[in-house]
Amino acid sequence: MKKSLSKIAFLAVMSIALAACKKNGDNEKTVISAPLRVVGQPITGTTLPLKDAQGNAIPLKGTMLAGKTYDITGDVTVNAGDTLYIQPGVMIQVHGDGLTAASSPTFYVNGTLVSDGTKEAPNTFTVFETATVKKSVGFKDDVPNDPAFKGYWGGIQCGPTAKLLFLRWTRLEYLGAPWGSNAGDYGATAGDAKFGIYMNSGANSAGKLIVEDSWFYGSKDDCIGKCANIFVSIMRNTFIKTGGTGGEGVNFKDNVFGDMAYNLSFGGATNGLKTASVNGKSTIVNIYNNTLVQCGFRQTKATRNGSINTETNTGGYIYNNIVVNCKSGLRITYQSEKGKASDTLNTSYGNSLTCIGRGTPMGGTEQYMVFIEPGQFTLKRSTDLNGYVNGQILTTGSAAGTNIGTNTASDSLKYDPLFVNYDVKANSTGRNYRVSEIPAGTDFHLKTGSPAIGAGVYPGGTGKNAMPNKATAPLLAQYGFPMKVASTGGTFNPTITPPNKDLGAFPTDGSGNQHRY
Amino acid sequence: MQRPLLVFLFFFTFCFSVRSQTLYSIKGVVLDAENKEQLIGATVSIEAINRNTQAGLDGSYSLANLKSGTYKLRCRFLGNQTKDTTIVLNGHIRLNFLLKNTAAVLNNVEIAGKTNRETDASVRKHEQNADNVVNLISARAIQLSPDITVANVIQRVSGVSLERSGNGEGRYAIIRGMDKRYNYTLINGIKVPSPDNKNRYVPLDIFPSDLVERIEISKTLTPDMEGDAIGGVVNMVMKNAPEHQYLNASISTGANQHVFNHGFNAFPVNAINRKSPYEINGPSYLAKPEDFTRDNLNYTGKSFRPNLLANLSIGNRFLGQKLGVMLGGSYQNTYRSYTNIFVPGDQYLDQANAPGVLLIKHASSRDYSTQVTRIGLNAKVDYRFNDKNKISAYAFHAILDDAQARLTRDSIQTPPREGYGTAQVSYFGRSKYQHQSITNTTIDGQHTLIPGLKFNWIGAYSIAKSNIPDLAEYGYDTGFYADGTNPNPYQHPNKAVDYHRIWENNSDKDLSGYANLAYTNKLMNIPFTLTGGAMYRNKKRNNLYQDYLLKTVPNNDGTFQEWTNIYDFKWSVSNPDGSPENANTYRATEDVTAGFGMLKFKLNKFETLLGLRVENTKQHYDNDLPVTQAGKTGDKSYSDLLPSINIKYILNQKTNLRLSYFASINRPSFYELVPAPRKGDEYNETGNPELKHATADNFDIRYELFPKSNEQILIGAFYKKIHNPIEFGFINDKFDTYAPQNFGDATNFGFELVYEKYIRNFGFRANYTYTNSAITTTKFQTINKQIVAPLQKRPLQGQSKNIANAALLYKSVKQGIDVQLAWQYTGERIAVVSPYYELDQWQKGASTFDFSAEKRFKNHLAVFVKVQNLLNTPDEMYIKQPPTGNAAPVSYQTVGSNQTLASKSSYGQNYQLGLRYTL
Repeated sequence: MKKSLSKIAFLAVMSIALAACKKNGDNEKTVISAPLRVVGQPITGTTLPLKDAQGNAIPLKGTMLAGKTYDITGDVTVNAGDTLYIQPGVMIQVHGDGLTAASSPTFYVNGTLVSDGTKEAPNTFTVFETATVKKSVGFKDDVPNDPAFKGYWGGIQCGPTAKLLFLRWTRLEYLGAPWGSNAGDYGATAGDAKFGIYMNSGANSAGKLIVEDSWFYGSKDDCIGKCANIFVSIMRNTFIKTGGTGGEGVNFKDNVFGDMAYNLSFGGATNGLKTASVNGKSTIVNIYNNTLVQCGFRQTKATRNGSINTETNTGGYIYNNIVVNCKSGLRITYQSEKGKASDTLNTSYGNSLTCIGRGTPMGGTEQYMVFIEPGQFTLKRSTDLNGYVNGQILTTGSAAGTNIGTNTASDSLKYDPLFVNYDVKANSTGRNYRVSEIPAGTDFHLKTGSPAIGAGVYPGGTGKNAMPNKATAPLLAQYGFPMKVASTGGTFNPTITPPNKDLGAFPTDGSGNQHRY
Repeated sequence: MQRPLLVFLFFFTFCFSVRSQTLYSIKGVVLDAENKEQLIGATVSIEAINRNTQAGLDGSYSLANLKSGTYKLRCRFLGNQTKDTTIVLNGHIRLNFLLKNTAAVLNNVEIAGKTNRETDASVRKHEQNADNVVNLISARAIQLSPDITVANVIQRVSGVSLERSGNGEGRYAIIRGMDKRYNYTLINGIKVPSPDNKNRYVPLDIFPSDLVERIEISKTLTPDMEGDAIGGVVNMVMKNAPEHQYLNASISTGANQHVFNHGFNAFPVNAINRKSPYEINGPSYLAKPEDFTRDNLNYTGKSFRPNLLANLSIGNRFLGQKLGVMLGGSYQNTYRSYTNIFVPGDQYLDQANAPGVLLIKHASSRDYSTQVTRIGLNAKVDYRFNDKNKISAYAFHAILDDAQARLTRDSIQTPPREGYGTAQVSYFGRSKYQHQSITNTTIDGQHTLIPGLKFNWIGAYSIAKSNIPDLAEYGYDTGFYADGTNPNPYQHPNKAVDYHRIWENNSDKDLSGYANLAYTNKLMNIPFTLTGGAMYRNKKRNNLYQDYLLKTVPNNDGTFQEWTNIYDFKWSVSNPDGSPENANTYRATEDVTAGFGMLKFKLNKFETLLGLRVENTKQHYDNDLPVTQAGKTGDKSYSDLLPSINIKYILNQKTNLRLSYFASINRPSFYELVPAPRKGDEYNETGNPELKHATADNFDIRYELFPKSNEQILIGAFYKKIHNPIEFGFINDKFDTYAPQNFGDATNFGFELVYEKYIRNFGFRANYTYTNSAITTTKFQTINKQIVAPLQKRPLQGQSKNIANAALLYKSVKQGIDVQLAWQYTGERIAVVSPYYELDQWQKGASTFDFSAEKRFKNHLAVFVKVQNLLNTPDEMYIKQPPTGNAAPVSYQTVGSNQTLASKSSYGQNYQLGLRYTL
């Protein structure tokens, strides 16, 4: 205990020193170590859950202790009103094989779960590796065999009484075990893959889903899936290999309000980020400063888009995103097989870059890539950087507001965001665009001269950089940009990074996403 | 086409009119001396000049073209004493015959037991004498009707319509517009459980109509009847042991027009694994892809095959008439096919600054092919110890095998569809095989303990089973459309999709006992009967459910698997352990304890029956969910006090006026209570443990006129107030799950008319029922994308405002010809209650015509022909709103129509031609 404390203290001092080394005075940062927190009783047994005399699992509450490795051998439940707090530097190994619901443990949260990792001492939820349960090594594009898509364990499923799920500097891997008999309680069907994280407060007061600076690696279906009736803040995370043959990185349903910003989604099966409500209910999620690379190609069903997608009655401010080598760019949906019209009144978008590295017309033996899917509401704004030429906007009929424009194939490399270490051309040809593992050393920060630098909206910006204001949109005015739904700061509240003057998750000022690959 | 030919045949058959030149004639009627029933078919002969005739449907006869003179007339009728009369003819005369019933002279046999209960006249008499409001159909009417099953028969009764099953067969009675759930079915007065786990009572199409002696439909309840009927009660009385040797055998063949024209898709039923991998290998087994068969999803088109139907009933009495035995067997093997258009109106689209509108997403054409095999065995044995004690035993066993192939083409109506020919299309193939059986044994004793004190008891045991092994529907996506990444439509390859394999079976065991004591006497010259009784029934349900999700395996390069055929389809098992700990594997019990007291007395012209019934219900279920989940067990109990009064005012011998009130209930079934999600035929379904039982107050008034024994005029009116009726509607945010619910209180009122008239060889029957029910519920609606939840008033689900039946009959006893043309009209009714405002699915009003004819020959043989659904009337459902939410025109719709076709099935004509032997 004392040892790990001193270790943390050492790391904290080191990071202060490192930060201090930076010469640019504007980027001066101070990091002061937080006190080690204990909530309720410390959890000392490391094989969980414990069983009562009848053999039923005892619900978990209290504090999982820094530096410990916990083995999870069965479903873990956090009861309504209880809190499970995980100190920084905890390793959680789930003993699951992904074959059946019974053999693939799941965390069920009906109260509060806070995984309080730090940059220096992150927490990990992973699968316990055995002779038959292998981790993913060296699989670039192999859905049938890649263990990333096996769904070894059931992720974190939050019931209607759950108040808070907070993941900070936490790694979640190998998600998506099959649902069992309780599927219906979570809007699913037995046999379906569980989403990595699911939270739906139903008619109860909205719970909070806060995910910050965390990594997600491998999920069978959606990684954060079909959450509804909650407040969210999804900031500065990395999503890799989300969805086997379908599935989104983040997928929000009805009555969800919050922000998704500074996330990297790499190699997602369908969309990296998606919102879709239901009839008669709104969802407003701001989607800004995200970077989406090589998404959408494992989804074999048509009309699902492939980067950022807003559908049925959803809106928000959608700015400052970079989409590179994805199946298609931002879609403000009119209709698709699954979705209905998004809330265009409460949608404001622009200042985003979409790049396709391929210089040849899309299609043929290679899969299609387009800047914008025609026949939807999406238009290329004057502040956008992409090769779409808007079509005539229909003014009558039920498809009013849509346009069928053209994607200029030869414009491909014109919008290269100039990532520090990622060749947009090389990665778009052959089958490279299907690779879902980030090559080591890849760096999505922006090189000098990148068109993405200085192209974003940000507080204090003027002209094309001015923060958008859509006076006609009541819900945008109500919720703001970034969102004003929760108080910020401290251990139990989100830390929000406002939009940056640069596009993407990795702006040149070093703020935003802190992950390295 | 066949139609003109049939119409011609019909008119041709009707052209047997007899014209005669007049000399002198003798006319009159032949009646039973005791009950004044017309004796249809009685022979009046003048043997000296070799002339004879038969009494017609109204009992009348006529002998014409007779010279003046003295004639010796003989009038004969089986079961009645022959009467001889000598007359002197010198002008037209009327001469009526009254024949004594031979039974009346046998002092140890009740007259009622001797009457031929199978005749129409007999049942009319029963209707007139009954204590409550009943309608009856005789076996003779059943035999003559174009109907194969009991279900088809009972829709000829006033106020009765039918709910059809997936293959177009009528299955359940809707009495006075009350859904099947509000009616119960009895066999010989005993409730028999349904093998169909969704329904409480036995489906009527499992019973071949030939085994039934008569069908009684009670529309009001008396205290001695079980109280869970709000609409009414169907009682099938099986053929009794006759007084003399009886043999009735028939064999027939036939065809369905649709099968004739389009053939039949067959799959090998033998290839179906009757048990799931879980059941075969135990709970710890992990199923492998090869554990799932493929042959059962391989369809071959077969050309036309004939149907085969056979019946045999034999009966006799032995040991000096004391022991009666009646045995019956029936076999039916029928093929049916039809095409169904299915456009579920389950989607809704919000509109800016306006109410949301209907959106159609799927439009399917589904080819159904069904082979149904039914076997029914029936045995009734009675032993009369003496005139005071009688015991009878009855056993019934029925098997219903139903193998159905369903091939679907579904085109998605939302973008990228631009119009016809540019849509995402999915193809599906589903094999459903269901094996059902019912076994019922009843022992019934009737004892006269001392004069005036009667005791009767019944013990019954029934087992009903259903097994639907390996219900599977594979599918693949394809289509010619622009997919967003390519603005020009192009042909997409066939893409295999995930699918389910489901095993479900259930068994219901019913054990029940009834005991009644009746005391009859007179008090101050007022005859009365005081009856008291009790009953108990224990019902046990065992339901097993296993659902495997098979996922399509992508190719090694990550591309999708193309569909070629079922044999090349590669899948992985998503949940190889099946469905352990699932809520749909459950055990449930229901205990009903009831007692009643009732008093019947006759004061002047008032016959009154009043009493009170108490029913106590305990329902319990216990499923395989782990103890850590809510809803593992559930208990429900309630008691109901059910008073009733039936007053019959006998205006005169031919006229009754009836008034009645009864309280009744409706219980949720196990399926409706157990909170288990499952995949239904059309929608996802689940039970609702919060469901309350419905209670009702029912008022009836009826005027009955019986001008002649087989003629009648009935005029009735009814009013029902139903508290918490149980109806099905959609739940969840997405309204994608169909569940039973209590929507509130409902009222139901209406009136009915029945008229029957017979003139010589022609008869006419007609009935009409008007029903007006109303329930007001909250519906989903959005205005400017915000939920407003308005109230909507609508009729009860399944209730038609107008139901009418009419039949024309022709009967010539002399020529041995019976012909019937029947018409049935069921007015529009709500088939599916939509969660959305004003988007309920209405079944369109439809007329169907059925025809039957029989010609008897001297040597006990008869030839018969039956044609069902003469005009191939389609079964159509509409939503009374256009699909405004769709930009492109929706498939199968009439351009410019202000409504949406939701479903349409054309079942085709059914023909049957057969030979009957009666001894």
